[in-house]
Order: sequence, then C-alpha cells, then structure tokens
Amino acid sequence: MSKEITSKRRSKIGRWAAFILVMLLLGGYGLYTLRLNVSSEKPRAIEGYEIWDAAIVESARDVSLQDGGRIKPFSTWSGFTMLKLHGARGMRIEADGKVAKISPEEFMLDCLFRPHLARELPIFRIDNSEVISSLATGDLPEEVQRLSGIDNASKNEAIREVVKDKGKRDRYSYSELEPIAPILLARVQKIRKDQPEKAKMTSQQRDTVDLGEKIWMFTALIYHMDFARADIEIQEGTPAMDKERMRRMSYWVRSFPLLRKAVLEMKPQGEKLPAGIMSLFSDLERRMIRASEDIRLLPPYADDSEEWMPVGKRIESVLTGKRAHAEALVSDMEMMEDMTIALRDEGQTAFGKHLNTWKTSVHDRIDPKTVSQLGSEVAYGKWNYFYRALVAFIVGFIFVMISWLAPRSRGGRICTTIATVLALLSLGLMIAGITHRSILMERSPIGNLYDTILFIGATGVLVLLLVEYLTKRAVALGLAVFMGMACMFLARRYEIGDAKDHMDPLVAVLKSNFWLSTHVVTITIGYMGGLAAAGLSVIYLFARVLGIDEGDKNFRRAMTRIAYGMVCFTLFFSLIGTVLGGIWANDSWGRFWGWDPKENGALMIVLWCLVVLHARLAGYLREWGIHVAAVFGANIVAFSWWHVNSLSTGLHSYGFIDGLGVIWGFYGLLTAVCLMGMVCALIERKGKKKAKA
Amino acid sequence: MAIASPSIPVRLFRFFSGFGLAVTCLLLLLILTWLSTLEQPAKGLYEVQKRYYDAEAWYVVPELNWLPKINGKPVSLPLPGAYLVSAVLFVNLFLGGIIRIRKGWRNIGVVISHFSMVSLLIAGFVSHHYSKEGIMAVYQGDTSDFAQSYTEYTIEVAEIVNGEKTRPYVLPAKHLKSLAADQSRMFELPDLGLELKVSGWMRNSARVKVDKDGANQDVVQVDGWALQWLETNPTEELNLAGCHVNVVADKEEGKSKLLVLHGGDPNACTVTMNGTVYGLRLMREIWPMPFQVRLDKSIGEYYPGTRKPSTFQSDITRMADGSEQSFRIKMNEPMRYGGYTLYQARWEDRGDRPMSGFAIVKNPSDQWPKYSLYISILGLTIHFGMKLGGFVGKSSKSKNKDVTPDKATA
Repeated sequence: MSKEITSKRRSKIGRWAAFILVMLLLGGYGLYTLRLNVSSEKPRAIEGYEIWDAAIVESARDVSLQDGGRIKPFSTWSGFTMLKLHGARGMRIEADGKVAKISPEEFMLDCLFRPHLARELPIFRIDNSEVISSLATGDLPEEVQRLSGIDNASKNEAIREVVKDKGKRDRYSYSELEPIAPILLARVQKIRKDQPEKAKMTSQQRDTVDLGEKIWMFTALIYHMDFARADIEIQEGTPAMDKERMRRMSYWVRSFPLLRKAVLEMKPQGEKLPAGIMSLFSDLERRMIRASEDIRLLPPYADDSEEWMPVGKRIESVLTGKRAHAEALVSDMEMMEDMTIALRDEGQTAFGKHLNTWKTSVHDRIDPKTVSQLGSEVAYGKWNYFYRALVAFIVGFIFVMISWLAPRSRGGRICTTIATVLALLSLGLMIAGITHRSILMERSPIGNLYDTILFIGATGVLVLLLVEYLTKRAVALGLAVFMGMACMFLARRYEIGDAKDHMDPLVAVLKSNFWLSTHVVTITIGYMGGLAAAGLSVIYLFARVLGIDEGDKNFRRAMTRIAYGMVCFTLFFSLIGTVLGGIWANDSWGRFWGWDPKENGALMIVLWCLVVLHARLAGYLREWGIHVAAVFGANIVAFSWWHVNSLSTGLHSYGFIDGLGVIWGFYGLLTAVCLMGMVCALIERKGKKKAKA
Repeated sequence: MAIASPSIPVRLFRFFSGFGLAVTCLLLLLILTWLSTLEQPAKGLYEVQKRYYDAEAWYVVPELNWLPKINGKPVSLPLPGAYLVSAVLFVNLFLGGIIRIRKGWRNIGVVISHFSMVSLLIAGFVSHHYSKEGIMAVYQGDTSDFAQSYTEYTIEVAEIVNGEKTRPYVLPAKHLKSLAADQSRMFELPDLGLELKVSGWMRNSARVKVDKDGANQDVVQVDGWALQWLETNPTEELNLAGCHVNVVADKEEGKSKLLVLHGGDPNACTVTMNGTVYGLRLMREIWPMPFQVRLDKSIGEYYPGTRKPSTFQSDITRMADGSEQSFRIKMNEPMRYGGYTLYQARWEDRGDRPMSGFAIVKNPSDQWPKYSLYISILGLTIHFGMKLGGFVGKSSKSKNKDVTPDKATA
C-alpha cells in the first residue's frame, strides 16, 4: 500500500518536474528568439510620414509583376523583399504622434513612390555593430576616395558618427547608413575578391557582405521609379513647347528619333552639343540605368517572349532600335508617371485611382487564369494558415501540459478535449494551407526544404492523432501538438532566415509531378516517422526516469509497441522512398545510385531502422534499448533532412543551407537523452541484480 | 544426456545466417555511409567512391580530422570496405532471410522483402561490375556514334599517313590510372613496332612552358614544355591527367623519343620513328556505340528573367541497321535502345548552334531495382499490414477491457 502511495507521490513530483522543465526550456528558447527578433527600441518617429490609405494598400496587393521566373502579386514580392531587408514582415514607426505598423505593401509603396520617406525607415537590422566599426580598419581604395569624396582621414569620423548613440544590436535607416555606403561597398568588394565562397567567409565577413547586399537592393528599389518622377530639369533657354510634358521621361522616349536626328545634324558640322542637351542626356541615361535593375513591372509586348522586362531595359531596347514597342512603352510610362504626379500633387486618393488604372491595364494584358491566381495568392497570404496553426498549437500545447499534471481529474480531461479540438483545427489549417500552396504552384506539395517542414508537420500531426485515437493515453496527442508547433515554428524561422519565395518554379530536373508525388512524398513521410518515433520514445524515457508512469507495465509495453511500430512505419516509407528515388535518378541522371549525400542520408535511415528491427528480433534491444535507439534515430533523420544540405555538394541542390548551429543543438539534446536512458537502464539492471542476489 | 555440440558446418551456417552478423553488417554500412558522406565535400565523390565502395577497397581508413587528436595524431580507425560488407550481408540475407527463416504465413512478407533486397544487391553488383557510362556531346545538326568517359584516361596511338589518322591503338585506362607518380609501365604495340614506357603519371596537371634560364631546369621537359603537378580536384571530371611517354622504335638500336602528354591537349603529339609518323594523345576513354545519333533540334529554356532551367530537350534521329527513328529526349524521359540508355544531361548554347550532352549508360541491371521495389512493396505491405492489424485489434480489445478513463495514464 505504502509502495503505491510512494509511487503516486513520485509520479506527481515527476509530472511537476517535467512540466517545469518543458516550460523552462520552451520559455527560455522563446525569450531567446524574442530577444533576437523583437526590438525593444521605441518606434522611430518619421517626420511627415502619412499612413497609406487602407484601400490603396488593398488595391496594391494584387498588382502583378514578374519575379523568380513567375508572375506574382505585389504583396508576395513586397513580403519577401521586406523579409530579406528587415528580417520581418512588419515595422513599427511613429507617424504624426501615433504608433503604426507598416506592412510589406506599404513599405514597398514608400520605396517606389515616396523614396524620401523610405530612406528614413529603420529598415536595416544590424545584430552586431562591429560590422560597421570594423570598416574603420584598412585604407579606402583611391578610386572610391575619388568618387565618394571620402578620404581616409574623414572615413573614421563618418563611421563613428553612424554608430554614435546606437546599441550593439540596432535598426538603421538608409539615411543613417548612406554616408558610409561607399566604404561598406568597397569592403564588400574586397571580401568577395579574397573569398568568393560565402560559406568559407568568417561570420563578420558574411554579415558585412549581407549588409552590403541589402544596401544595394534597397537603393535599387528607391531609385527604380526615378524615370516616372516627372522632374526632369529643363534648362533655361531651352525652346519648350510644353514644359510640363517635357519634364516627363516618356516625352523624351517618344521624341527620341527627332532628338537623335537633330544631334546628328549638329555633329557633322563640328558643333559642340549645348550644355543643356548634354545635361539632359546624362539625366535621362542615369534614370534609364536606375530603372534597369531587376524589378519587372512591365508585361511583355506583342511578339515578345514571356519575359517581363525592367522599364530601363525596355527603354534601352526602344532607344536602340526596337521602335515597334515605343508607343506601348510610352503609354505604360505615362501611366506610371501619372501615379507619381498624382501622389505628389493631389495626394493618395488620386494616386489610388491611377494605381487601379495601371493594375487593370496590366491585368487586361495577361492570361485571366493568372489574374485569378494572383487573387488566390493574395488570399493565401492573408489567410496566413501556418501562423494561425502555430498559435493554435501553442495554446493546445499549454492545455496538454496542464492535462498531464492531473490526467485523471475532470479538469485534466477537459484540457485534453480542448487540446484535441485545437490540434484538429490546426491540422485543418495546415492541410488547407498546403493544398492552397499546391494549387497555386500547380505541383505536388513538396519541392523544396520549406515544403518538407510543412508536410512533416501536417502528416506528423495526422498520424499521431490517429495513434491517439487508437491508444487514448493523451501521449500521442501531446506529441502531435508539440510536433505541429515545432514544425510551424521551424518553418517560420527558416522562411525568415532564407527570405526566398518558396513558391517559385522548380528546376527542370525536378519538374515531374509523378516523382515529386511518389519519391519525395514517401521519403518525407519516412522523416516524419523517424521523428515521431523519437518523440514517443523521449516521452517514454522521461516518464520512466521521472517515475511519471508509476511503474505501470501496461503503459510501458504499449509505448514500446507504438514506438516500435513507428520505426517499422519509418522503414516502410524510407525504404520505398529511397528505392523510388533511385529509380527516378536512373531516369534522369542515368544511375540508380550515386552516393550523393541526400541519397546516403536516406539510406542511413533505412539502415538504422533495419538495425533496430533485427537487434530487437535477436533480443539485443529490449524496452530501454528500443527507445534509446528510436531517439538516436532522430539524429540520423536530422542528418539526412538538414545536415547534408550544408555540405554544398551533390545533385540535390534545391535545399543548400548555411549554418548548422541549431542542428548541432538538436544532436546534443537528443544524444543527452540517449545517454540518460542508457545510464538509467544500467542503474535499473544493477538494482535488479542486487535485488535478486 | 549431454547434447552434442553442433558440427563446424552447422556452426558456420548459424554464424553466417545469424542476426548478429546482420546487425553488424548493417551498422558497419551505416557508419561507412555516414563517414563517406562527411568526406565528400573535401575529397569529392569519385575519390570517396574509390576509397569506400570499390570492389578493390577491402578496407578503408576514414579521415577523422574532426575528432580530437590523440598525442597530436589524428584518430585512425580502419574499417572494412563497403563492398566487402555488402557481400557478407548478401550471404547473410540469403542464408538467414530466405533459407533459415521459419517459413509460414506469418513470415511470408518478411521472406518476400528479403528476396527483394537480395535482388537489389544483385542489381547493385551487376551495375558495379558491368555498367559503363560516358557522355556524348552533339551539336545541333551533327551526328555522333561514340561516347566518352567522364573520368578515365587512355593513350591513343595511331600511325599518321598523309596527315590522316589510321586505325588507333589504345592503352587501357585501368593500366594507366593504377600508376603511381614514381612508377613506370611498358606497353608493347607489335603491330606498330613500338614499345611505350609510360611514367610520371599525374592525376591532375598543367602543361607549362619551362623558362630556359629560370628555375625548374631539373624537371622532365620536351621542346621547352613540362608537366606541373596540381592538387587533385574533388570534381574528378575537372582533373587533367598528364604523363611522360618514352616511345621506343628499335630496342636494340636504342632509338627512342620522349613525349609529354597532357589530358587538356586537344591535338595528338607526333613523333617520327624510322620514317613513320605516329600520333599519341592522352584523352578520355572513348567507346563506340552500335548506333548513330543525329541531333535535329536542341532546346533549352529558362524561366523568364532568370537563369533557372525550365526545360532541356533534344529531338534526335537514331540510325541503326539502315533504319532511322525519331525520338524526343528530355529531363526524366530518356531513350532506351539496345541495352543503352541516353539521358539529357547537359545543354549549352554558346555560339551559333546549341549543344546537347547525352549521358550514355550501358547497364545490364538497368530496370532490376524497379522490379525489386515492386517486390519489396508487396513484402513490406503484407508484413507491416499484418502487424498493424494485430496492433489495432489489440488496442481496441484492451480499450474495451481495461483502459477506463480512471486507469488512463498520461
């Protein structure tokens, strides 16, 4: 009797210990992430900033453009551009005494149409101010000194001025960084010359190069629409028929043949071109170059390819002879000029009207199916399926944790029910999100690393909920919620870090819906199985070590059966997925097996599962052993799923990644759990031997 | 009554068909695969394959530089080669998984799965020993009837008559690549009346001009040219081999001429012996095809505004036995004919005409993995299906019997 009471007491203490441990771990990690991503800085006050009208932002969302090889809505492009520059899809500022959140669309509208305000936005996040301070070392190349007007003496003063009053981790606006931009870009050039491979750079070099790339990208955005500003300076004395029209670049593109003729007539007579004309030419050229950066707003014209062109490139092609497109180009330029003029002279309402005119004009020129897909993609962005699923999982996980504290109580059962409902709701959101993505991408759900995270999350939750349905022990439910939460969190972190649109089309060799739906899906389900098996075994090990299971042999047997079943599940899908991959490779690369790192990773999972299965049959692994092995299996899955992508070798190049910090953390954590299990198993065995003796 | 201990053959049978050996082999393969993957970025796939997976690689000493050193020396842990381990696993799988296993309906799925794995290993063995692969590069409008190895070098020797190459003789690749830098090997070509002594083999090299008055006067040089040793590139296809060849026309009279051959040289080196001109060229191994391929159209497309390939495809005409047949080869859709398979592997458009590079593979076990897969799906589905059925049945029984909410354990 007293033994039972002691066991129950131990179980209670164990539950609380586990609860506190998990909360501390998750809370600690959450706080760490918050510290990294959320700035405690007061929202920056931007003088003269007028918040964009909601209707304009709404209207801008599905303005179309071409990026990454596909036509996409303005909202998607803005979102990933802001993510790349800012590390987040939003920014808080103070405008007119009020705090406001700037969305990606608003940020992009600022960059294109109100560059003077965009320059003041604290868009650049610098995690270590050393990146700027270190620019003080070394001399500036003479060429840079000549062009920028910064000499070695004034360089250090400029750098000191930039970091003055700034923290180690801080946000900077372009206008704050502009004085040192030439120094930074010169340093980036030098780093790249010394070490062309980013993976081999030191972390500071990499941060410097990243910052340089961001500055370059930002300047491309804020100068891109210079061709449409309608502020070309008309020199005094220039015969002007219509000075207002002459301030537009479209005027000069239209009348270029006349201008060219006049210049050619002057030149043979040896006349020097008037200073006004020279200045006009250089102004036009500068605007054309700025508009040639890779921002593709103009749909193709008649007899064109499918390629949308940057406005500057189109201007260049028209000026250098392709006059057939001149009228269409001038008409497009005028629409864009109308937008900027309306915003400057009349305000946002007029701008909104012209923006709609532009949008309708472009939509009329593209396939109606694409237009409808743009709307669908905007809806996908608004639904934010995976973020909502993450929130529901977090709440669900808290309920699961509470229910585990007192599973037999009424409150515990209510918590379990709520967690189940939340898990089902999140699963619904994930399935809806993945299906929506697949429809938009017109392909199987998995084509890159990001897709695998979503798919593993969704299938993991689904399978574990099925296990929960069969076992009704709230264990698989807890793991389902945790796995869903972890995957959604990982997907979010990966998307922020990578800042790439993962819906962009796939390279030629991957364009096979048959193989993507068979090989890639099965192998990914195999990864999920390995992780789920490890998760179940971690719960088993902690339940046993902390005495939560009260020595219940039925529970232990059931858990071992489930974990072993998951190892079999992993083997089934990994083996079939691996062989299917070989057959695909045989059809596309001419060999069934090439010892490519990704192939090796999949083979390792298969081999590990086979080791566990045979070792169990031979009696080498019993309860403790199977669980320790299942936990270790997650390390192999992590190696295959993530680690091999950092080796930068092999043909599976769609998911190369930088940095392995988190993976090493994962290995460390799971290896520690394995060691804990092994030590406890040894202690228990010794205890049993002693008791027998 | 004492039980007689089993005879040696029985003991051997038990050992080779036992779980212990199976687990050991599987673990060793796992470790070898892992270590070879880690070595790939530095050493390259070709070298790693050679070190770990070749039939000749009986054992391997993995590079464990990332482990802490012991007494200032890197850890050295010799392991059996993957080929050897696979061979032992094959024996174990056959004896244990097919012969010794208890037969019956409960194990039918396992036996089928083991059989599929045996056939997969046989396919791997056949492919390892009998498959051949190379590349055929054809420009649009051109016809080709040969493939060239990606990595293996041979020396081609031919008599030159009126500026034209006559029937060439080839020094086999396997006798060249096994040469160490300080070794030499003699090759006799009685039909040509020549003996060739190949020495100074370099896996990767550059052909450099030797300055008359500068340094490096002690290196082997011919007409002011010498070979410079280069670090082996992890991507084997990029390595350019080099060697010295002493051409002996008349052993007794000691008539010989030294040549420097380099893999990057597109032209043959010529040498005149007893009034006959010979051309020698170090080149990637060539093998003729039993059919010709004419590239009618080569198309490469990129996604608009990017350099990301969206389609590579080739319209070809295959000419064999006096007949012509048109095909379209594209990514994931190869052409199979007469035991050969042609894949769209490369596409280039540098000048006036686009070029398609076809990977050509001759593999007798080409489709065997597919059949193994079907068998393994069948076996695993039967086995795990039965297990799952049992688990679900047990779960619902125990749910009805003893798992009431009061006893549920979280």
